[in-house]
Amino acid sequence: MPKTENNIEIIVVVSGQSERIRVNTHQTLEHLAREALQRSGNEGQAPSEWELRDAGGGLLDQSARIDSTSIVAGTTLFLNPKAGAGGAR
Amino acid sequence: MALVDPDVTNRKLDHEIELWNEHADEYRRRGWLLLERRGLRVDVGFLAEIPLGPQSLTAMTACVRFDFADYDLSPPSVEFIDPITGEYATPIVPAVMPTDEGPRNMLVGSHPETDRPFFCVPGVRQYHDHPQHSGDSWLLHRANREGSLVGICDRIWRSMARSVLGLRIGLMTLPAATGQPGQMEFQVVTGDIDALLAGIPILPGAQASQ
Repeated sequence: MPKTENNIEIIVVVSGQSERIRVNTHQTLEHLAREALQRSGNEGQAPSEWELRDAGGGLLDQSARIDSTSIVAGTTLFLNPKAGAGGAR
Repeated sequence: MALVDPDVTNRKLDHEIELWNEHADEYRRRGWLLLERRGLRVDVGFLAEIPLGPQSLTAMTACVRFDFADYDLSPPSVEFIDPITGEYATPIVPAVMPTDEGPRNMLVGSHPETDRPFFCVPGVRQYHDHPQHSGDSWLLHRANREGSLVGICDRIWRSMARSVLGLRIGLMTLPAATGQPGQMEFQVVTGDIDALLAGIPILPGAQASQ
């Protein structure tokens, strides 16, 4: 039986909408992003087309394991689509 | 004439404001200020800290007016305004964002329909109305909520406020015949703040204010 202390709840704000996601800290941030996309009605969308950021706006590496980051229970992260086309060089 | 029942649009905007309020403290810490809601228009200002030696100066480097008319059949209009007068204005910093094709300035000088600068990203009405993006329909981005109040604010903040590195001061001396000792120039410089914090050397020019 997995240790419960390895399971934490993280708040992921997906395009402005909050989702409370319970994950095992051994999981990667990509898994967290995928769960958040599914819960927010964006299932089937590739996490690679979205950017996961911390409260300060820093971009997070989705290949990282949660327990290798400073993310703890109750942390709020932000998930938004990549910028896409537009602008000028 | 509105294509969407204004009642429906108002309720959708109410929801966008509710979502903002759920994390209002977080957004305040980022320097986002919801200045005013008037009908379907929402004005938002973005504050940045400009380092001045041991102190810093807090400045509003971007201020925009959202217009949610016909939302979300249409994406919101987003235009830059002066935070004091509320009149349309050109921002003092560019809006550079990293993309798969390299850094791009999302602040484009003049929209063919308004003749005013605009934030050229999917989810913004001016982007989808621009002839160069006629093949990139808003309906392809609607489900992702790329036109959400918080989503667009996040992009503006990251490219025009969070990206502020500092103030560049230039001094140039002039020939005595001009009768002036010199000229001073002040520019707010933006750049890749994450690279700077990671110790990656970035060009001293970065992106200067316009």
